[in-house]
Amino acid sequence: MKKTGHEAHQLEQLLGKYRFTRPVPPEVRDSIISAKKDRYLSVIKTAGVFTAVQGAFASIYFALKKTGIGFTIVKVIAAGMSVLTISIGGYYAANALRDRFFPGAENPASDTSRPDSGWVDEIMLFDGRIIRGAIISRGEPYRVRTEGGIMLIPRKQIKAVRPLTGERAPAR
Amino acid sequence: MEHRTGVLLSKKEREFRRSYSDYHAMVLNALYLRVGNMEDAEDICHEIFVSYYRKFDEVRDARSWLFGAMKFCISNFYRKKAGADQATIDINNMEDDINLAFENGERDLRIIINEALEHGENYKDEKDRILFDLVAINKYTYEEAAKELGLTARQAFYRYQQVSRRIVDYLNKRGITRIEDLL
Repeated sequence: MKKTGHEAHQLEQLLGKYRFTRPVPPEVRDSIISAKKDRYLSVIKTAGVFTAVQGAFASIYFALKKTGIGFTIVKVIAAGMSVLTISIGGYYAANALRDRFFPGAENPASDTSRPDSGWVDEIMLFDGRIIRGAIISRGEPYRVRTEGGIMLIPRKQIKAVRPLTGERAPAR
Repeated sequence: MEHRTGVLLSKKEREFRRSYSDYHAMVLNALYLRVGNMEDAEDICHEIFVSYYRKFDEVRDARSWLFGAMKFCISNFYRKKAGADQATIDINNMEDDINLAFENGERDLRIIINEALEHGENYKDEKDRILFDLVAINKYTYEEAAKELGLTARQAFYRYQQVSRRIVDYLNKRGITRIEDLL
């Protein structure tokens, strides 16, 4: 990127004409940029404050500085972590409040049960058994509330599910 | 024992590292251009920054302090090297010598341009100033200056254009309305 605006270009010419410019040769510029971290470590060693932590931080610091975008990324990560921390904290706080004020309530988003719908399903298994109950979740395994309690049924054992109407779901 | 924040680096160490990172190239460029070789420039630069670290808590204006230390160290360097008398070497007069190369109106113009470059309000912050020095004076590319200052090349370009515009505005206010007439 060496596209300079009109004003900046004229100003550079002016500085050149009035001998303000003091160009540094490219190889010297390279040397100055590339050995910056080593020179810094040398300075703090002479000053007597070098530690392994200093060295590690300096390596990261100067590496990030060279990229130019390093600090931006670090800031984005820090901001993301803050948001995540606040979100997780908020989630747990909301759950704690719900448990305190509505002790019996469950989180509707995490539970697909239909406790009060009165819906009953008939689940036929490949081994011929038939189970009646309310399907709480259709994950792996299926969770079914039956008269005898909650059953876990592996999905691959289920042959068919037939909803039954007019029957009450087993009590909780 | 120095106060440390947590188990990591003390505030002084962090601020010194930041300051070192910002001024390192500027100081080393100036030294190289004055002593003429990189080895001597590095030695003097090392000496300056070690002193800077030791005096860090007392330094109010880093730029002034570093340039003051640089003049002192360069004087010492030449005195040791040539066995010359201190009075024969005066770094402060170097700029004046350049001014003397210009006559009358030209000299006044140079003084005004110098004022524009020194005028603090033309730079949003110290990083702007260092960036301008690196690109306009020492002819660093935007990429190189950006690496030195922890910016992207695009940020360096944008900042440089802004500073140039402010300096041109300053020159306009001082009566230099058409730079092209001076070229």
